Amino acid sequence: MRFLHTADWHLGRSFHGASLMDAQARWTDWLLVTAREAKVDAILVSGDVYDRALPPVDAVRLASETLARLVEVAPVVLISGNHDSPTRLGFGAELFARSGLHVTTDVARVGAPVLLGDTAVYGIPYLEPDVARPLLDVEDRGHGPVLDAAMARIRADLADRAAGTRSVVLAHAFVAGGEASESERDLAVGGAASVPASVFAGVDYVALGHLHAPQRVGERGRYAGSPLAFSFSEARHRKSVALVDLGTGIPEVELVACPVERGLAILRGPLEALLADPAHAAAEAAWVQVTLTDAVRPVEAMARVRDRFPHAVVLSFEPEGAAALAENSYAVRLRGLDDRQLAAAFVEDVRGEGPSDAEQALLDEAFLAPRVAEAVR
Amino acid sequence: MRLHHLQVQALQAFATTAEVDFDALSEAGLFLFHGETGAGKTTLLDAVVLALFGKLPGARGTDARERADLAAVDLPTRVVLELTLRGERLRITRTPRQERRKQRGEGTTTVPPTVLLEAIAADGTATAVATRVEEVQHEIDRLLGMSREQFCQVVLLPQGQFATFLHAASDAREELLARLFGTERFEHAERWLTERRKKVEEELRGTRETLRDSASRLAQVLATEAPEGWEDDPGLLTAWADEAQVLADADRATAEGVCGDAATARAAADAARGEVQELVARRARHARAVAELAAFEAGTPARDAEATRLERARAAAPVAPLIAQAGAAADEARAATGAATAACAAAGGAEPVPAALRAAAGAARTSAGEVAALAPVEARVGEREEALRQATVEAAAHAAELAEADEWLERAAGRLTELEAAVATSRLALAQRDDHARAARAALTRQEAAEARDRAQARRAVEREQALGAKSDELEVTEQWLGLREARLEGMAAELADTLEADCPCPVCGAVEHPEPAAHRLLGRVTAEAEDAAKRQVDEARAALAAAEAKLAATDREIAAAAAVAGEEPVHALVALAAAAAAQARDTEQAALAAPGAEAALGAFAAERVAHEASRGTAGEARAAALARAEELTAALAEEQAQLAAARAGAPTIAARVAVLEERASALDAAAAAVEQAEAATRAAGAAADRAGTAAVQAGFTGVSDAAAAVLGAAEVATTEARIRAHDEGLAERRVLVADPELVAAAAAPEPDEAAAMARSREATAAVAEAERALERVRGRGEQLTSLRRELERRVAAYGPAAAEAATVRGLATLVDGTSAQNRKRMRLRAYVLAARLEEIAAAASERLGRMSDGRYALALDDDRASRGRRSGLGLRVVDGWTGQDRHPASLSGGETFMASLALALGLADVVAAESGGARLDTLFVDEGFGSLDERALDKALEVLDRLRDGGRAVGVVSHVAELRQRIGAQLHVVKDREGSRVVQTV
Repeated sequence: MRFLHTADWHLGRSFHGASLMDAQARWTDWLLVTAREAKVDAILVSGDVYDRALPPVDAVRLASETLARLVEVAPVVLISGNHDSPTRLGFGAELFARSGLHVTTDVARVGAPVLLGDTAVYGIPYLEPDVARPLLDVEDRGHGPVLDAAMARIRADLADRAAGTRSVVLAHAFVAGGEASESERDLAVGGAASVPASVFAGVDYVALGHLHAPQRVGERGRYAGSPLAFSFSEARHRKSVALVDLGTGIPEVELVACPVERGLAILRGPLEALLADPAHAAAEAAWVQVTLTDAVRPVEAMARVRDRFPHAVVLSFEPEGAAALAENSYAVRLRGLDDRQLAAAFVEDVRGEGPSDAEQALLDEAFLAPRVAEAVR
Repeated sequence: MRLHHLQVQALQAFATTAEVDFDALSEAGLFLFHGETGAGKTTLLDAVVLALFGKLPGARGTDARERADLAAVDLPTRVVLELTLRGERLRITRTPRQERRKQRGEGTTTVPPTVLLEAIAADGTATAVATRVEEVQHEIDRLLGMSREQFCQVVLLPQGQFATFLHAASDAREELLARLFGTERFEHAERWLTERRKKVEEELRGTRETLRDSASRLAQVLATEAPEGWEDDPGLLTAWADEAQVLADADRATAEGVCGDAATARAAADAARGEVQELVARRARHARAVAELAAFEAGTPARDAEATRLERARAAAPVAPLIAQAGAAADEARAATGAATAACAAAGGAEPVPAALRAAAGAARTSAGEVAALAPVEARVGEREEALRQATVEAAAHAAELAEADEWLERAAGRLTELEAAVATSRLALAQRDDHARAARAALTRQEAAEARDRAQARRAVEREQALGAKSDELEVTEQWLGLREARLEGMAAELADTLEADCPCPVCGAVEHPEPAAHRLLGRVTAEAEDAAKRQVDEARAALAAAEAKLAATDREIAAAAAVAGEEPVHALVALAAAAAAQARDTEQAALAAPGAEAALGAFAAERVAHEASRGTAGEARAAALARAEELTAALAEEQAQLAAARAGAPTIAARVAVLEERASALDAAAAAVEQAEAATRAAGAAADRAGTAAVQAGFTGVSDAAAAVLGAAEVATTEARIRAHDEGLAERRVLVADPELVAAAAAPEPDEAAAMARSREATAAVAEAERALERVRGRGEQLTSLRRELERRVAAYGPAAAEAATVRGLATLVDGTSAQNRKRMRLRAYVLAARLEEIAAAASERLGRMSDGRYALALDDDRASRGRRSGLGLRVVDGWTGQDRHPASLSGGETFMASLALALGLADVVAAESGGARLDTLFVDEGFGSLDERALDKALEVLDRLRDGGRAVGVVSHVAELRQRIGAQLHVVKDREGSRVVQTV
């Protein structure tokens, strides 16, 4: 069987304030073409279809169109991720199933597979531990126990099937050892966000979603990764979708690179240098994150940066003379001083010259006397 | 501060009780209160503030009512909050002022607010810590370290007011931070310096006053004014004083010279006067001596007379004692005579003749003896009187007894009659008892018989029926049997035919052939068995009939028997009769039973009566006896008393009379003795007088009186001798003096002018005195001047340093409290110290604000001078990275302000937690505000809040924004019902 594995579309997400809607629309077009050309038997979408539980109207429209067109190519199996609202995304799941769009967002239906040929495809929607616990009869808190319970059900169902049935599981979780980016939402519950890869043992292929970097998980698992870069930490990622051939042994994975419309560039240096240096010409068309190292904050920095780099979206400062500046800050100056030194520093600071001997003696007494009075009392 | 559990009851929107488990919510790190508008989300946060501080936050603290309008009247408004403050687990239960139904009467009464603070131990037991509002507030204040206003800036960001801390003026912010970071020691130092300044300036003023005092005194002494401008330059005073000193010294020298001259003049005048005085004295002495001599000579005759007297005295000396003796004896005689007279008077005015007196005494004694003999009689009389009294009393008592007994007997008569009647009744009853009982039984028997009769009659009816039935059965069955028999007989032929066998003779005709045996009829064949059966039935029926008839007969007999007993009367009449008879029998029985009792009572009563009669008799007797005795005694008494009266003769008792008589006797004796004595004394006196007269004549006197007159005492003798001597000596002296040549010469010299010499001498003395006074004055002034000058120098010396010190302290104190002109930043010491903290807070806040604003905004400390002279140093400004300009926080938009405030609150909590002396702010509440953020900003804000979960902090958010419901797992849904709100917790 041949699958196309994708995930983390995050339709409706913006990139540091700039809309990605058009780019996402074009990507979905590309996906359709890819799926058609690769003649896949099914399309797996491992969660985070939308960016928000209540997605904007455009995103809903795009998703609706995309799924309608995908279903014409091959059956689609889709689960909800931690960004989606399971109930909303699960609207009409039973009706859609008849058309070839299998949406699994209901925890109760975990363990019921979608049978495609001789392969059983199980979808595990994102399990919010405190919500899924009662539904799966789990005592302990955390992602691990609820996923264990879900996988137990799946294994039980699989055991009932004919031997030789291949199994695919879609899941949306943070598997330990995976590389995270800045753009994923923190899943931690009670400090633990990740589950060990062994949770998914016994399955032929695990189609994972949530981490935006495309990466393998063991021999039989994979994060499809996000279609587009959503943060500057993903600048080095090569975004792709996975074509998975499920035979009898290890699944074979072929990566198809996603088109990059606008790259990411991270620039650092003094303002003038950045504006003048020709080496940065490539960044002029990209999304740019600029860190200025001028000792003094330039005036209208953003405006000037955008003159050359119109798609500069993040601007931060790390002045090189930072040490000197910081020294002038109160915090640094006053750190570690005891009371009389503090008083002396105060006098010098507000008056311009430090305290004379007589004044210092007075200050010492001023701090000592109340303490003595306290002790005597 | 960490909240554990909240329970609100009848508070604003919550008509009943709602509970919030903060522990469970806080575990999730980030939790959401959501619900419809007006459901009561903010009320839950208000309840926390109410529990801690007793008032709702902000303006609602004064205006809003805490009580829920929909609550039942009997359900009090109450808030219970369990929390941990500085490691101590506490529970606060608070009820605000509210109306409560009166326990007695209609209407409501206002109860004042109450509060209970308990400490919860590790095992869950609660101990009350305080119950008075002030105490509890003090405790909470100490542990929390914040006032309500500050709490609502830092821990709870109220709806619409989250930016208070961001927009606060420097000094308000300073107050808040000071409380949070514990900078009291700087405040103490500031205060100490201010007080020190006041003290030093006070002292300086004092010093200046003393200086002024010195100057004025000096001015008085010098009679010149102090120089101008000395306040600024005290040196002027010293110069002035020195000048004056010099002048004073010169004056003194002059005065001393004058003094010396005057002294010399006076010495001379005194010498001259001395001489004159000497001369005058001598002349006077001489004159005196002459005069005295003349006087002495004049006194010579007197001296001679005295000498004569002395001689006579010497002669009279031996006679004196005899005279004395005579005098004494005369006195004695007089005394004795007087005593005798008195004794005679005492003895009754008798004649002073001893013999007669003694005789009278003897007579008195005799009568005394006679009277004494009557003493026993007296005693007896006393006894008899006593006995008489007793007898009288007894008689009276017995009379009373008698009367009592009579009374009782009267009453008894009636009672006796009663008892006799009762006895009669009961006897009668005894007699009738058996009859009545029998009658009752008989009546009962009749009644029972009547009942049996009725029952039997009833039965009879049935049995008759049965008998009739049996009879008819029998008839029927008999008929059947007869029928059957007839039928059988009709078919006998066939029957017989059955028995036919071939070649056996027929019983009827004997033929052996049977060509046509009779056949049974097809229907209605009756076999022998059938007939037998029918016969049996008939027999049975007959038997039954017989039985029934027999039963009926029996019943008839029974009826007859019963009727015989009971007659024809109906049952109910007989029942009544039986009941009456039974009642009568019962009454009789009871009366009979009472018989013995009545008899006994009668017997007892009779006995009592007898007893009373007996006692009456005895009482009468006794009384009579007593009366008789009394009479006897009275008679005897009368006699004896007459006797006694005579003997006593007026005295109260015999003994008294005896005593009187005896007394008289002894008095008479005494009088006799006294008279004898007087006679003896008189005789002795006469003898002594004779002796004395003889001696006087012998000594040359005319008589005793003459001799007595000449006697002189020893002392007088001595003084007379001395006077004579003195006269002689004086005379001799004066003679000598008169003859002295010196004095003669002085007398001869001319009279000097003493007055003039005295006058001159006086003048000279006066001059000296004046010169000395002048000198004294000058000297005095000089000394005063010196001491004042020294004093002035001392004070001037002290003034300088004091002024310098005051200047230093003033400068430092005003510098430290920020009011000095030299303080360029107008920043006080405490603010300076806090500036570092605020910087740290701004830095921590900026980190989050940067994340929320994509790195654009940051917060920084602004220590520029504030306007209008207000103290400054703790300002905040917003740094806009993109433009490089700084902005005032008030210039941010609504959503940006919210983000900045949130970041600031989080930053503040971070820094406070890191500070060792500060309170831990583990919980933060944000009430609304998220609605002002666009989706992306909301996302970012939630991201920031999400990260808090790791830090063990808990952030509670109140919001209606739908997205948050999806993002935040731990939720508290406040549902608004018609009857009030309730809370649904999903964790």
